[in-house]
Amino acid sequence: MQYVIHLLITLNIYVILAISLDLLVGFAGLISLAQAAFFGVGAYTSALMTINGVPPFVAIAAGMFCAAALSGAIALPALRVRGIHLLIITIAVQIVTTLLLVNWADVTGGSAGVPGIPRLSIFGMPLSGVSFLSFATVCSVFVYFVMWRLLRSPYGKLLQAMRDDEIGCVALGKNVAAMKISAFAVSGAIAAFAGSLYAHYVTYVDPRSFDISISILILLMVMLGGAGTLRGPVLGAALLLALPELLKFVPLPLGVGAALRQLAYGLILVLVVFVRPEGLLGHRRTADAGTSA
Amino acid sequence: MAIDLTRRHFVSGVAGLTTASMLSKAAFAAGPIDIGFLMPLTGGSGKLGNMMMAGASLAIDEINSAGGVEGRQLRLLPEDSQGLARNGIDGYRKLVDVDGARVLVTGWTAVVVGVAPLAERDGVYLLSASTASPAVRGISPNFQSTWMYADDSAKQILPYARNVLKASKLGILTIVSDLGTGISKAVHKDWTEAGGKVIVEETHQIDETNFRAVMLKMIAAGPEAIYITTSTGKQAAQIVRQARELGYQGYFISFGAFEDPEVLSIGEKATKCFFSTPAFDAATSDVNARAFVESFKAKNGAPPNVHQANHYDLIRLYAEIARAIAKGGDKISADNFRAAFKAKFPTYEGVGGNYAFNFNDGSVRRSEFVKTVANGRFVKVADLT
Amino acid sequence: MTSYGLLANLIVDGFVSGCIYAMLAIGFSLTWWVSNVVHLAHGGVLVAAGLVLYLFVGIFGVPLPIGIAAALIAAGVLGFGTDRLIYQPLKERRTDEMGMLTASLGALIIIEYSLVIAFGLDGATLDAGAMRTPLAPSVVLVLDPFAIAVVVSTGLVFAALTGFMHFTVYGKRIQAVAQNPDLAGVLGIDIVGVARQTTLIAAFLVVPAASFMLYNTGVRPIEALHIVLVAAIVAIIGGRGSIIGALVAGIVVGVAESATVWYLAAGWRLLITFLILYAVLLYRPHGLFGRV
Repeated sequence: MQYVIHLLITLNIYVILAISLDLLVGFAGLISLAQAAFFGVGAYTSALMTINGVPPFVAIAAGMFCAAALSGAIALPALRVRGIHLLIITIAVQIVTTLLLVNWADVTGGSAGVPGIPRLSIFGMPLSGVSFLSFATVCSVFVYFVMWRLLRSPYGKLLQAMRDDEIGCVALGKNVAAMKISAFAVSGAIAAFAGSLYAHYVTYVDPRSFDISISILILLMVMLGGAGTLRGPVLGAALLLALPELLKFVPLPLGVGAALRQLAYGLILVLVVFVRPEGLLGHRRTADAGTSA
Repeated sequence: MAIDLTRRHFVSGVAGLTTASMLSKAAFAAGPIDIGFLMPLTGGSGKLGNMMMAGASLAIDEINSAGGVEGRQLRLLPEDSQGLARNGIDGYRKLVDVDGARVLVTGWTAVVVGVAPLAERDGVYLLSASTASPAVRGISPNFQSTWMYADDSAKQILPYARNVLKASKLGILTIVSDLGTGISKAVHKDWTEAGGKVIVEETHQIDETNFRAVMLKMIAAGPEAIYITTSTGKQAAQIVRQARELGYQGYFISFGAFEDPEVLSIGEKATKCFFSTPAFDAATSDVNARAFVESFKAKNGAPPNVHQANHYDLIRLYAEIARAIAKGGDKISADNFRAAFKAKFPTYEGVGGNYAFNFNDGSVRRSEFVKTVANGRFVKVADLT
Repeated sequence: MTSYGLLANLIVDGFVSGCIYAMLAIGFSLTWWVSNVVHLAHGGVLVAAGLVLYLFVGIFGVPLPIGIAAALIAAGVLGFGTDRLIYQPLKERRTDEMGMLTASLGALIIIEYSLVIAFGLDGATLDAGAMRTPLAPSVVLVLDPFAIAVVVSTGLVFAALTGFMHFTVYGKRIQAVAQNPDLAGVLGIDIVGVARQTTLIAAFLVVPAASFMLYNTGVRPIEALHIVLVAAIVAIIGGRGSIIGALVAGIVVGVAESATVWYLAAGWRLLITFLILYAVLLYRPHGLFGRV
């Protein structure tokens, strides 16, 4: 059943994206609306390099490296600041990335995008349909596992401590700057990995697949499912991808369907913060439970 | 664990949907012919997509009430692509795998480029009466357009601008998109070959609304005519209005997309604008076209525009090809469809003028008019060959 | 026109755009300063005000002053409503920064797409007509009555706001609350009341900018995010709560963007704005006129 396989592959890609953003939003307490930009950087780097004959897995690594560098650069001025400054600068990075993808047409193909991206193959076996789904599932489980280990490492604990009490961390002599930069870099690299999967699966990338509405969607997945848990973003991704598919079977007035969906996203964002700020699968954090996550 | 949980939830949801659609298919076992309509129905281009669907629906109604195709009814299956690659692929998968459509009407560059490789693999044929981007030229043997690629249609107006309007110094305002770049290159080449000079070239973004700075720069070069490449009427209207506010007196020239009510809303400022457009005119005297205009008005309460004529023609053409296949006793598949199309309809005469298809790169040549704005209406001023 | 003539035109045009940017930003900056709320829905309020003005003047055909009154009411209701329904309840629950930003983004999206459903994606534009006749076409093409109206209005709004802040008891209370809410509370100032006044002032302040945009480039619902982005950038560059900072930063950004067009394609304007922002955040994180 190609349709179901297709939806499940898309789900795996978005699970990876949501987990990558959760590292920032949920575990490090850093807001970001640039996740789709790193998704795009990964997809484009991987696409352009494989088209020019670079082996796919080298290209994927290169995409992750580029995204990590860009993502880390965001945190440079954000070191002294957080909250609004970080929000605005990540929106800026997102918009500039889209601007570059559209305007730097000699390299990126402009708004027409890059078609004809080679499919992945492992040991000479080309991946498509069920085999790609298996590969994507292995990837998302792997990312989930790596993140699970990372968050239980001293580094992960420190990240969560920084989220709960940044000044305290500084007072203890921890290098908060390095932690923020590395969290951004890791998150960007994982999002770029999802981008490579997307590029090799769809075999076509264009700028509008990586614009700010995707960043908002990913943030919504994390907030709805439960920031600060790993299960939360998985559930968030599944719910928000299933929603439009289900809405296909609900008669909506033509012409306003997309606007209604966006409106619903806005309402969900506000409602989650009011009704269940910890998300569906999150656990409520009390003021004194700070570092025991 | 968590993944398992959600996966199960997700699969059962989707499986439910599938069963529902299979039931509905069984109910129509006598078998209507399904035509997928993978177009933007919501979002930024939704208005245009719905407009086009009105043209296609009228053709379906007429064909069905006249007995269908060899006794089988036609059925249009709309699926919203929002003009985006990802949604387009989602919709394609549903149309092809769940509904079993073999021929799709589609459009918008990102969607066409995104689904073309899938269509080639799955044996699905794609038709488009709305994709003007030269980026899809020759994209797949399973893709055929009935709407001229913009680089072909955009230069149609140039001989008129050169010989009748007597313009020589041209400015080109390029929208940063595959469409804009393609048009701009073609216009530049043809204008130079026709002995004109391109004295200034500038660009603007797809969602730009402030053209004052870029217009200042263009006006400073002193062009006699400015070619605008945007494909949205709203933007064309903004460009013309803001240029006139800065005192620009020269001509504007453009292509089919210029014909949009937004342009008329700027009133007097829209004079001295000329554009080429496919030969469809709601005030036509041609019998077939007249009948189409009247029944469209009767159904929708307003006269049809060129996009609606294109989609009306496209469905009519589809029905003719399907009839030819049925008469030969074959099934509708991409290969049969392509073969019958090539054999029977290298040219086609519809309400939107004459079509001459080029199956090598999926393009088409169509008869065109020159139109301008006068007294708050678009009026035809000359025929183009 | 010579190359330098073009540059002069671009700078004048950028100055005028900069005035509009300053007016976009001032309300955002005040809310951020006084209530410590990142009011992303500000962009939505502005678009709503512009579209209401269009509804009254462009469709109902009422005289401009009545349309502006309607826009003021709409902006007031929407700005005040967002604050009462979303920001204040969340503050009372001590919602963390992430929650506040998320809710604020949600509020922006709700307003934006409600407007899309009500008015369509294309938004609205009105024609300034004779206001757009160049005064001295041979010298500076862009200098027309409309541009002068923008600059004069901006001057009046900022002068009035400065006067209000420094010479009225209301303004002084606002300053006191913004600078030290705890102390202001101890001194018996009604902090919630002051925050409400600020919310209303911020909402009313979108109307001049919204009106000029409607008659210039038009207002579109989907630009709400972009508008609040510009507002936030100007507020950050100018310094949180600084009136003169917003004015200077708005004009700097406007002129820089416009002058960019002299040697680059117009699409890169936004990039220049972001580069200025990045530089300010690196070297003056509190903004040009910000109080540390």
